[in-house]
Formats: sequence, structure tokens, C-alpha cells
Amino acid sequence: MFGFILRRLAVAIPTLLLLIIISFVLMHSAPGGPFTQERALPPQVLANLDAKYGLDQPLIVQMWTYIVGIVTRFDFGPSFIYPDLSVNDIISQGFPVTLTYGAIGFTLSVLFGVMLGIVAAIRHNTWIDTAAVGVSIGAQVLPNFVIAPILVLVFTLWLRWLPGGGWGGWPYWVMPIIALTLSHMASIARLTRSSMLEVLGSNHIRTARAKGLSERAVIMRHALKPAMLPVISYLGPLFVTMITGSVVVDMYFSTGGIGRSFVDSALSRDYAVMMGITILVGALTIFFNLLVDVLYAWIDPKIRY
Amino acid sequence: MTKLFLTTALAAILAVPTLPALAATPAPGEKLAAQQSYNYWLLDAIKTLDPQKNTDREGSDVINQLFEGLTSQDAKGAIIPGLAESWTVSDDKKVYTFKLRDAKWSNGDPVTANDVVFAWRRLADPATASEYAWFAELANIANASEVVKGDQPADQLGVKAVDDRTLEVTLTQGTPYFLKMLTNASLFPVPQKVVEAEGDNWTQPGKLVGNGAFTLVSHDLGVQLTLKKSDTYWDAANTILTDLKFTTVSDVNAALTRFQAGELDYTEIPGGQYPRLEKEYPDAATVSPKACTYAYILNLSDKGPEALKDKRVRQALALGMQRDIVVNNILQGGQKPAWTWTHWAMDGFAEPENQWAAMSQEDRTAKAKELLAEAGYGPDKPLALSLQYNTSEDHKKIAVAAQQFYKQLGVNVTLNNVEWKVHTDKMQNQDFDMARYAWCADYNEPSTFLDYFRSTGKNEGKFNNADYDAALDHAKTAENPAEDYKKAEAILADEVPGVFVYNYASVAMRNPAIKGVPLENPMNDWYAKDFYRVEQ
Amino acid sequence: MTMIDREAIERLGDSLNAQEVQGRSPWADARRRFLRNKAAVAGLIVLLLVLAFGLFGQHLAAWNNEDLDFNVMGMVAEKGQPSIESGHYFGTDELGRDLFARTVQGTRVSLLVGIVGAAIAVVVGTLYGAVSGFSGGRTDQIMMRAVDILMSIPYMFVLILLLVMFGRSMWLLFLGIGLISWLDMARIVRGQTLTLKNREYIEAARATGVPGWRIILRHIVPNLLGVVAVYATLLIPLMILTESFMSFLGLGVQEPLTSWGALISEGAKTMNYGTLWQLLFPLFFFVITLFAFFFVGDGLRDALDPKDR
Repeated sequence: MFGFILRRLAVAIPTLLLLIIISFVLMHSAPGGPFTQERALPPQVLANLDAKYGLDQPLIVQMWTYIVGIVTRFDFGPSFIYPDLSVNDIISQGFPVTLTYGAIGFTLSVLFGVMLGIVAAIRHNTWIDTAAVGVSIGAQVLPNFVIAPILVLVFTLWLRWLPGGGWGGWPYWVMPIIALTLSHMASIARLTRSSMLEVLGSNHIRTARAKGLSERAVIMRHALKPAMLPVISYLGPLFVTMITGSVVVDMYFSTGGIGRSFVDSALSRDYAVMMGITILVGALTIFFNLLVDVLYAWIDPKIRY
Repeated sequence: MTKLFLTTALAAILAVPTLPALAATPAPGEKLAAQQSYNYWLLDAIKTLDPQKNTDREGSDVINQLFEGLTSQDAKGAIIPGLAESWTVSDDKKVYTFKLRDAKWSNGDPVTANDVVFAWRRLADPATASEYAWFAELANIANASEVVKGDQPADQLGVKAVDDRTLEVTLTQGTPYFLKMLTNASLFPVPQKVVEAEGDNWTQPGKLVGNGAFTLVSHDLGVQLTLKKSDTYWDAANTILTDLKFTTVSDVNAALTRFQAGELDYTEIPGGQYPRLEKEYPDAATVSPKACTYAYILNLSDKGPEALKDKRVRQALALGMQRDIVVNNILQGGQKPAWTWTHWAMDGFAEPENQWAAMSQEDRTAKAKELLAEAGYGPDKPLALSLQYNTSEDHKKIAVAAQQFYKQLGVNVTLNNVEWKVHTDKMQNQDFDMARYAWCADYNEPSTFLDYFRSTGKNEGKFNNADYDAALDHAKTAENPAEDYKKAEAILADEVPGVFVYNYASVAMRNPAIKGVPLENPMNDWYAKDFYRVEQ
Repeated sequence: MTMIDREAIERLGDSLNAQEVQGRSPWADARRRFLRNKAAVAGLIVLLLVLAFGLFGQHLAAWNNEDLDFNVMGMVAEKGQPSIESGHYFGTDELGRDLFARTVQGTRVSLLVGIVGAAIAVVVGTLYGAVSGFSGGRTDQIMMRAVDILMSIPYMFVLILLLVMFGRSMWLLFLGIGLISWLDMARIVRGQTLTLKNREYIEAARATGVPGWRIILRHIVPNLLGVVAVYATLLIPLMILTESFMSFLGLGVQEPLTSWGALISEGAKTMNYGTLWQLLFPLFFFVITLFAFFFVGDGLRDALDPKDR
């Protein structure tokens, strides 16, 4: 097991490097740079800027300096577009926001998704099942850029219950969480349902039933754990997706999260911020994938690595 | 027409006595609201609050409240004293001497002439790497170009503090619009001590020190900024608003919903929605001029298509653009069809007669077809051009419509939507046929527009006309530059380096409880110290 | 990020393999079982109707999808509503273009994006997985480690980057969307290939010196058809969803082309301005199609799986 973790960690480093190189090259090969402006800057002004941010160096040197900065000082460099801020400043302002709504949203979608899935599986082929499947496909296919403006219209304009955006106490959290959670909750529900049905039809559940255990005990003690396995493998990437925010949520609700910052930085060629967020997301993805594998092995000892 | 301009110039020559500064002045009978707050909408996150590093409109809107320049503007955009209470200018119009008023920074220190000198040097200094360093050059401040290039140290810039309250500026040539340029954030003073002590971080809440009517309380990146009234501002006694908020809502439709829910006091109206909102909220829907012009720039350079080198083709494109439909059916917000590059509301601008403007669109279309036929294009040899525009809902609508307008002339236009950076990059490399463009005034005078098409100007389409350049050169020292500007516009109308589409208007929902909002200043600068909120 | 239930498809693959050992063709009974599944059949009918709408809808339209109706332009809320009389059966968009014709066009583009994207993912994933599993040993190890590495790359980010960097060409969108999803497919196929590899007829083919690529194409891939079909059906709606998100960001298909995502995103922006039809018509087609794909995909999976539930 430890060998496995070590091996995976060893792969993590080249993975991150690959990610850095891909993004770095993609970014820098794009037309336009951070200082391409409507009014072309006079060459000397541009030269001053390039010198300040090291853009006058060859690409390979820039990449090296960048990687050294991260490894030795955990410094992701200065933002090109926000001259008063460093990448660390921007991420440390935006990440707590997405972490908050993402983590709450994640918890809720797992909780309700699993519950809905189990109920649908137990009541297989009844109207409850049909309704659950219909609702969850519906929630999965409705784009959140349709859901978000509907929420704002209903809760902010008509009912005047919730602020239409911004970031502060819990009233600000409600709509971003709903907009973010619905579709994820729905996919978890569908996943749980199908995996639960599979387990309920298996031999060892038939045996458990034959032993005269109550249906409740069969489900809680025997069916739940194996049924959760496929769901768990989905949770790692899902958690990362959710805590690194959603562009739609950040845009409609002006939460100040990093989902929006990523798209903005790519569009404005803020190389440093974009790299910083990509690396953050990449590192989190690797870490949580690993965590899921460990969790998997712990739940199902049959799996060997 | 040129009257306002002359008055300012005249006033500058005579030593100006202290003009009455503008302040919030409630009309008799108006009852002030208990809560004196104002919540302004921003589309994007504020990139910087550093006056010398700011490059955009929304940044200026915040900085204008936190800092004050040597001069300021009244509700119509005319120059009034700001930090400088008076000024004189030498006979050769090259040396300005400003007398600063007894003003304080928000930390209680006096604002000295040295702070202005520090700020201006900082703007030009290559070490600052300000994207607005060219502004010092545009103002013709002595040695600005050399300093920006790094050929001379920043202390050689033509600005010096004679004493704590007297500032002397030397220009390389007479610059009629110099005083107007001082209202731009990049030439605002900054507190030398604070900037030097805190470095790049000095604009963070708690550290930022300004000399404006408001101080910074908090700045939540991409969410909100909050400001409160500054007690150290020299005219604090006449400032009524106490709380300012700047709220970022990245989607203009969401912003409108939040305005309707009472969360915002100002928001832009999405394209095409003005007529409806004007009916529903007659007190709140407003239109005011905005000093920008929308155009399709034509590429006349060697890299451009051969067809566009023919003047008749360019004229046909100008004639075939159905401006009335763009303005009345697409934008629907009080914009005006543009037949000139200069915005109609510019101070000191007189539009030349334009025969095409007077024609009906049917006649124009007929004339355009005629011109194209003369140039050898027709059903057998259709003209094909690409139209590049940057991603935006409104640009898309106009481009789609333009494609249909030109189809009526038998011109096949393909649309090429690219994001902003690519658009700019391609334009600067002359890699386009027709490209959407808009130019906004840096100061309230026609030359800010017309300089664009100079052979040495930004001029992405590489228009080159000696008479045009000569007219603008003449304007620099002319008694009546309006005549030169008229001549220059007449050349543009004939040569068509770009199809001018419309002159912008600022179309906005504004809470009618907020009074003192300037609706006649085409520069769209506003100062919250002049506002107040009435009870409704 | 929605996803496909990988385990369910692996189980399907296992049971298909098991059937084959018993010498029964999985396709024989599958059709009968599929036709018994009402939801799946309804889904299939809906899909055929939507497809017909996309292919032939323009012949029903009274307007061209490009023409601006100058009578309506500027007064869309008053004059642009759906009406038989004006020929705008679905109303018009903000510019006065016929929404019926635009929806037809969007249907075609969205289906194309979904199908081409899924096809790329399936082809790449199948071949990669089959080669990896069939080769075994070190090659397999390296190929699978590469998949592990690629799995850790945040794809939505890379796709956004790609579209931002290289402009918005349609084929790049196809490719980008397709390349997001082949990894799962590769893993599933590899697993199945490992089982198939030891079958007698494949060992026999190997012994007679049939080249590896030929065995893969002739014997392994055909045996994976069931898995591939189910996976592809479930993948298409995800591709369409991804495209709609890209369109929301303005990175999707560009004017004068349009897609469901682009139309919905435009309609959603103006939903409070009295022109709700601009959202509802494209959204209706989008939703029923995705529903149908999910039902057909699930139905196909159940039909191929002999276990009687």
C-alpha cells in the first residue's frame, strides 16, 4: 500500500511538470500578450514592461525561472493584469470562496444524491423510481447558465429573499450552491441507483435476505458498502471540480471565486494567474485521485495494486 | 461651438482667480435621505487603484473618488480647479505654474507640489513600467519621451516643485488641451511617503492614502469595493454622500435584474432594452453622450485586400452601412449615426456638411451599387471581404446585420469572431480586411479622435494622407482649430479609411433618488462628491 | 462535469464476454429486450424525430436562417413572437432572424458536435485500450501509466485554453471535446481486451502468425461492439452539454453558425425581457434530445445485459 502511494506520488511530479509545460507553451503561443492593448503601446513602454516581467527572456528561461520560483519559494510570480497583486494574493482571495461554496455543495450533492439513488433503487419500478430518474436526468441536462438567472429572478427580483450576488454571510451562499449542486447531485443519484440495483440483484444479498434479515439491515449492512464503490471513484474528480469553482456561478453571482479568474486570465493573457490556477487544480486533482484510490482499497480489500 | 474651448484657453492665459469649485448642492425643497449612500455597477474586477498604473474606464471611476488631480470637471465637462486652486501660463504657452490649495492626504499629511512631481516622474519612469507612460508624452511634458525611453533619468522630466504649494510644468510645445489632460488619473498626485514605504501593495485597503473626497474601506477583488467620506478632504464640508459602493456584476443582464431589485443605483442598459425600460421606468432610464465612435476600419496597407485600395469601393461600403437600422433597431439607446470620426459632442467640434448623410438609405444603396459597378465589381465578379470583430453580444449583432446590409450590395462578407487580444494583435499586424473598432476620447477635444488617422498615428488600417496630416498640424497652433478639424473630417468622409457607424451614448439606469449626476459630460467622468440622495 | 457510469459498462462488458463463451450472440435477444423497454423505445422515436427535424426542417421554414426581418427588428418583444401568420413559427431572435430556421441549424450543429466528438473519443479510446491490453507487458504498463497521467490533467481548463489560444474553429471544438473523454473508454476496453486475449481462437490466430493489428481489428474490436455502442450513446449527450458550456463562454461555434448551446445562452440572457420563446424552443429540443439519449443508452445497456432484472 505504501509502495503504491509512493509510486503514485512519484508519477505526480512528472504529471505536474507536463501540465506546466503544456499550459505554458499553449499560453505563450497564443496571439497577443498581456500588454496587447487597444492602443498599441509605444515600443519603449512595451520593452519596459517585458523587462519588468521577464518576458524578454527566451521561453525556456522563463519556464525555468517560473518553476524554480514555485519550488524554492512557493512563489507563483506577479500578476500581469493586476499590477498591485501577486498570483498568490489572487488565489488566496478567490480560493476560499470557491472552497466554501464548493465544499458545501459537494456535501449536499453526495448526501442527497445518494439518498435519492438508494430510494429509487429500493422502490425500483415504482412511480418513485420513475420520478427520481426523471428529475435527476432533468437536473443533469438543464445547463446551469439557465438555472442561475432563473434563481436570481425568483429569489432576488420577485421574492426579494436573497441578495442577487456578491460574497458575505450565508444568504450569499444559497444561490451559488443551488446552481452548482443540482446537476452533480443528479449524476450521483443516477450512479447510486444503478450500482445499488446491481448489488441488490447479486448473490450475496440474496443470501442475506434468505437468512431472514430485515430489508433495512440488508441494505445498510450488506448492500450499501459495495454499492458505494463506483460512486466513490467519481467523488475525487467531482470534489476538485466543485471546489475549484464554476465560471457560471462566479459570473452570475459575482462571488469573486477562481473559476471566473481562470477564464479571465486566459482571455487577458495573464500568464501567471492562469498558470497558478491550472497548477492548483492539477495538484488537487492528483491528490484527490490518489485519496480515492486509497479509500477504495480500504473499503474493498480485494483490490490489490 | 468653439466658444467653450476659447473660454478655457483665454482663462488659462489670464491668471485664473479661484473659480467656484463644484460641490453637492441640493435644490431648495429637496429632502435629503437619511442614508447617504451610492452603489455603482462595475462590469469587471478593478485591476488596480494605482493612478499611474490604471488603464481602464472603471478603474478611473474609482480612482476619481479616491484622488484628485490638479484640475477637475464640472457637470458639463468644463475644466474647473481641483487640487490646484489657480494657474498661470507663459506667453509661449509652454510653462504652466500651478498654485496648490491647502489640501491634505487622508493620513493627515499635507499634499505638496512634490507629491505631484513624484507621481509624474513615476508615470514616466521605465522602472514603474506604466502602461500609460505614453500619456506623459501625449501631454508634451518636456523630456517625457527621453525619460520613457530610459535615455534620461526621471528627474529630468519637465516638472518641478518651486515650493510646497507651487508647481511648474514645462512643455515642449503649446498644447491646447493640456489642462484637460490633468483630469486623467495617470497625472493625479500620489503620496510619496506611503508609496515608497509599502511598494506595490500600497493600494490595498488600510494602506491606501488618497487626497480625494472618499477613502477606501475594503476591496474584495471582483466582488465589491466600499468607500467612505474622507474627513480630510478640503471640501468635506460640502460633500454629502457618506458611503460609496462599487459592485462587480459580470453579466449586464444580471446587473439590470439587481438594479430592479434595488441593489444598485446605476447600471448600463443591455443593447436594445432602452425603449422598454424607458416606458417602464421613465425616471430612471437615461441617455447621455459618450465620447466614443464605433467604426469598421478598412485595411489600406499592403497586406490588405486589393479591392479596398480603390476609393470607390470604400465609399460604397460607407454608403451601404445602414446606420439608421443599427441605431434605431439594434442598439435603440439614443446613439447617433456617425458620419464623422469625431464624436458630435466633443468640445470645439463642428461637423462638416455631408451630402451622403442627407440622402435616403435607398439612394445611398443605389449610389453604392453604382460605385461598386464602376470599380468593376458586380454579380459576375462579387466582392468578398472578411469582417473581424471581438467577442461581444452587441458587436455580433451589428456584424450579423452588416453582413446582410452588404449582401444587398452584392458584397459577400464573412464574419470572423475572435477574442479581444487576438483581435488587437491582428489589427496591429494589419492582418484583417475590415475590423470593428471603437475609439474613445482621452480628453475633451477633437484632436483626440483625429490623431488616430494621422500617418504616424495608431491608424491600424495605415491610412496615409498628407493633406490630412497638414490640417492637424496646423490645428496645433491655429487661432480657430475647428476649421482645421472640419477639413480633416471632410478628407475622412471622402477617403473613407473606415466605415463610421455610430457615436456612442451612455445608456443607463440611474436611481432617480440620486441627484447631481452629470448627464452632459461626454467624457463620462463623474465625482461622487457632487452627488446626494433625496428622500423618496 | 457529468459522467458515465464506468463500472456499469465494465459489468456489461464482462457479461457480454461470458455470453460469448456460452456461444450465444448478444445481439439476438437484445433487440427484443430493447423493444420491450418503453422508455428506451420512446427515446429512440424522439431521437429519430429530432434527427429528421435537423435534416429536413429547413424545408418547412418560411424564412432563411440568415435573413433579418426588418419589420420585426427592434420590436422583437411586440412583433417577433411565434406566429403562423408571420411565418416565424418559433418567433425570432433579437435581430429578427427566424428562430425556427435557427433552431433547425442549431440542431444539426449540436448533433454533429455530439456525434463527431463521441466518435473521436470512442475510436481513440477503443484502439488505445485494445492495443494496450493486447500488447501486455511493459507496453501496457507504459500506456496505462500515460492514461493515469492524462487523467490528472484538468481537461475543461485545457479545452478552454485551446479554444482561446487557437481561435474557434469548429474542427478544433470537435477534436477538443472528443479528446476529453477517450481516457475512460481506453481503460474499459483494455480491461475487456485482457479477458478476450486468452480466448482460444485468438491464441490460435496468434499461433498462425496473424499480425497483432489485424487480430485487434478483426477479433477484439468486433467483440467490444456492445460496450462501445452503449458508451457512445451515453457520451453524445455529454459532448452536447460540453459544447453548450463552451458556447456560453463564447468559445463554441461562431456566427453565422449556431448551436443549441448558443441559442439557449442567448435566450437565457433575455428571459426577463418578454421574449421567453427565444429560450424555450431551443431548450425544449436540447432537453428532449438529451433525455432521449440517456434513455436509449440505459435501455441499450439493459438490453445487451442478459441478466433479467
